[in-house]
Amino acid sequence: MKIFFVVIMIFFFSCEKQDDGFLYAPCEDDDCIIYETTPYPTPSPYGFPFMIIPDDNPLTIEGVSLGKKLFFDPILSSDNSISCATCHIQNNSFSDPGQFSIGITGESGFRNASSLVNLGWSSSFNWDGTAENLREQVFEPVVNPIEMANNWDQVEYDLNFNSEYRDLFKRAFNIDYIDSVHVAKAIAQFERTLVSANSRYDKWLRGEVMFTEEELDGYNIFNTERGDCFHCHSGKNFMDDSFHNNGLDETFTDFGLYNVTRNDGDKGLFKTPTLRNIEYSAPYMHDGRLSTIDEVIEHYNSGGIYSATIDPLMKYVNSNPYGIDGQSGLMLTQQEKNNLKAFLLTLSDNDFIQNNEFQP
Amino acid sequence: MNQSLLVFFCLFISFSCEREDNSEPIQGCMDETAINYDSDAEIDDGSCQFDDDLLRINIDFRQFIDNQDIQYNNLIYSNAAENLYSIEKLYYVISDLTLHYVNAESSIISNYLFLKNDDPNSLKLNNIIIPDTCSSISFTLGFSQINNATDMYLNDPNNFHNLMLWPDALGGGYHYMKLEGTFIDINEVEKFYNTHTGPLDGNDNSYSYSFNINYSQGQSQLYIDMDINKFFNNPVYDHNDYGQGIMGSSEAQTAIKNNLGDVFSVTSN
Repeated sequence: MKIFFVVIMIFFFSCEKQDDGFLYAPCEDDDCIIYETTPYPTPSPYGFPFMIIPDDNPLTIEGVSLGKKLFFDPILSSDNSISCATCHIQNNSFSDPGQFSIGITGESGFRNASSLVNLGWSSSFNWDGTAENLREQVFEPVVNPIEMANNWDQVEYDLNFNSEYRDLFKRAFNIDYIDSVHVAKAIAQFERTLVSANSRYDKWLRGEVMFTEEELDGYNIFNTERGDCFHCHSGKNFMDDSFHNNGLDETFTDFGLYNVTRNDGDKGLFKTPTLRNIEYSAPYMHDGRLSTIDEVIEHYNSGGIYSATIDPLMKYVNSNPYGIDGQSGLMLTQQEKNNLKAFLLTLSDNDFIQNNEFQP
Repeated sequence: MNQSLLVFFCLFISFSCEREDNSEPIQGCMDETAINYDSDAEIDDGSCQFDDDLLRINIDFRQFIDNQDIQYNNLIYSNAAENLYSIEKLYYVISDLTLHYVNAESSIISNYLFLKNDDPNSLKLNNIIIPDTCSSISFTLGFSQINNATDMYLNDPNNFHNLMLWPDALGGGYHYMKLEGTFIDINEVEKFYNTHTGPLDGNDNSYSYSFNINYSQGQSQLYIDMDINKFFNNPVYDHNDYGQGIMGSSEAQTAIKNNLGDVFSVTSN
């Protein structure tokens, strides 16, 4: 009979092992409170494609609000010192103005924190494409030892210990135990609402403003082979959701996409970043090596540096065996470079960086 | 009695907690044209059974240079202009793919296909059910003008819009083809070429093909073959003349279009 009792006790606790000691009481059928959620309008700016929203994580008012609270809450970091918003700052189009972000230990990373804008139209995330969806992306920085340096068991414990979060998760997802998946779901919901579609460029597309001559010429440089920016920075979000080696280095210390695919042809390839809000999202490139838009334009105007995996779209590369120093590159005049910059500045969306809805 | 209860509980424990995590993906036939198609199946277990009375064909899209398989990223090819060249990327659009049958009927197999050298799945159409023996096949390289406008395929899968859009500044719509690689120029310098074709300034530079098929019942395979060198041979197209990027050059677009007549061939077995 004692053995029988022991077995029953083992059974009782074995299913709860994932709680790591935190006791909770899942409701039984008759006791359950089921909350209604309120649909959050799917962002659908003028001219944009349909936003990609997973069936199992529809946008709700409650989910978005919870995601925003989590985004700004340092509870996700192991010492409660940094939040997502520490490195993704709204004034900088939710990027980090520093070349590399500083984690809880004071150690810096090795890539520039990406701008978080119009992510609902992307199908790969991180500079090297390590995440295939937003939910997956959320998991990585929380446990990265040079970022938040936490572990999900601890995050779950801390959140479940917090009665406000228990209530908010219940209202958003009708769950009695907060788990990592629902943390990621909530943050992903909030991130999908970070929509920028009211720049001067958008207003021009809608016929609300006229471009200056300089902006119009810059638009043409961008969208023809005079500048050939459009092949990678394509579509409504000025990025092709793809990976390229854009001629930054002859050899690589950061292998980018190769780290994910282990395909030699992917060495030195990084995801094309959006150019929306480029004015606010300096520094530039995956490692933040370029400080100004002028430097970025000059990089492409020079043609870039040859390496074995350089993209054929970098067709005027300015180094052997593909180019002749000073005689390769785009060969834009100073006026053309100024005009291209003028166009890039039309992608600034002041409403986005001042939007109260994105603030805690 | 106690022992029986103990056994019962042990078994219960073994199965109760892990059922969700260990649930196996459902196996079954995933081919919608099979008579035992299982819409719940997550893994195709090879059990598909087909109605033997239905005719089926597969279509493969293949790419060659002078009848040889292409070795990508290899600077070994030569065109009529004697440009030594390589190929790194080949993306192209086939639209209005239509099969015509002996009974005079026809069916559109696909409005368009996005074919990519780095995606083998994009180069095959399998198990197409056909009502009668095929007599001919027709298709267009690129899009005809009526099917090519800005944002027309904005929401399409496979990232088609972002990868193939043709900017409004150049007329709008979508590329027909992106052929990229390197060539040795007149100064013996290796350079990149981007042979991108499309509707420059609204001109229809697409090309429609029709091939009779010597195809008898029992055969089930069609090959639609592209020979890259035919883009450059007649009239002779020299990369030195047209430059490394040709999207804005009406002369280059026209030169390529004038070469398109014999780029494709169709065979069956």
